[in-house]
Amino acid sequence: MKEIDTDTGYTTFRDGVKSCLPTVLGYLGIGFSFGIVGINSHLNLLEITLMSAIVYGGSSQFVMCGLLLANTSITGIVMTVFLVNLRHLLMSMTASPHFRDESLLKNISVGSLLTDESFAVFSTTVAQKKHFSLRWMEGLNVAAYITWIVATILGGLVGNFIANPEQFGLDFALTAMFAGLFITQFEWELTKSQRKSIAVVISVGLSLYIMLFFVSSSVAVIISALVGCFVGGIMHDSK
Amino acid sequence: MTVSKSILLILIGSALVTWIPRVTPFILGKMVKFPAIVTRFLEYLPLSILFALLLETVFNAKTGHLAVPKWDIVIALIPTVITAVWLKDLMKTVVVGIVAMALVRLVM
Repeated sequence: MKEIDTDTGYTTFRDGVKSCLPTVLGYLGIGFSFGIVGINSHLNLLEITLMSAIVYGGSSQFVMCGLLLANTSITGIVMTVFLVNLRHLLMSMTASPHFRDESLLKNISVGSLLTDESFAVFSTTVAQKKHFSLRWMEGLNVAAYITWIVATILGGLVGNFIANPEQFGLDFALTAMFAGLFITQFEWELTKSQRKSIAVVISVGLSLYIMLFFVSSSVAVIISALVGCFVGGIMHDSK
Repeated sequence: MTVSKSILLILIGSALVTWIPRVTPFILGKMVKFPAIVTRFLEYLPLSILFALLLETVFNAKTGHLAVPKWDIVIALIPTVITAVWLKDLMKTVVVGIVAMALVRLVM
């Protein structure tokens, strides 16, 4: 991945920050809600900031607040967070081959900051067959990370005055962001193979609905994503 | 402002179990090349996981029960999806979504 080979807009750290911008509003909305929920779960500003800085996993942080309020044991909380965040393993497996030629340390830094959203932006870039640099990926990741922490602190500061961020629709930022990211990716996949992308989406939907009956929703997400990969993979050769 | 000891333990434990799955593939990927078949199947992961994550937020799920859609989310999703398809702008999609949701909650 030499700088010369990269496409315009995917070269510098600044380009990465720019690529992150569309998701910034989503991060702000969710991070802000998390700050409010955290304070209302009897955590202090330092604790919620620390959580956003070292756990750095949106939905898992909301789950942690719920479990803390329910007085769940330390092991119980850690086990749950493990399951909620296990999907990162699949995303990292998908993204890591693109960084093979970079140093181990750089690989660890890219992996440490990979989120659903940065992975989505990254994947759309791959789907568009754009050539990108490591600096671009770092810009994308770091911008998201800083936004998340700042949003958490802002939410934490007003958390004592607002008990329920839901009434402002802020919690919906997560769904809206996933909807937007999914549609962008879906449109690109449709241009490649209509039949396959539709089959993948339908199989994910059906398997998720069925799995929600049997397992927790975080495990259902992982299983249904694997079903989608399987369906896409076996249809691979048949156009 | 201090961090209580039990919270600190929870944070460190949770950070570790989140971080390890995140970085392990990047470390392994430096040492071995994933088999072609794995890479081929993972090509469909972005589409699959984004759709699964989206749907997960729509359902109220409880193990042993059929999942029920959260109707406020379903309703707010309609203008959100239309915006996403029409304007192809993530920021506007999120704004429309939040406003739609606030309105839905005001009425429902």
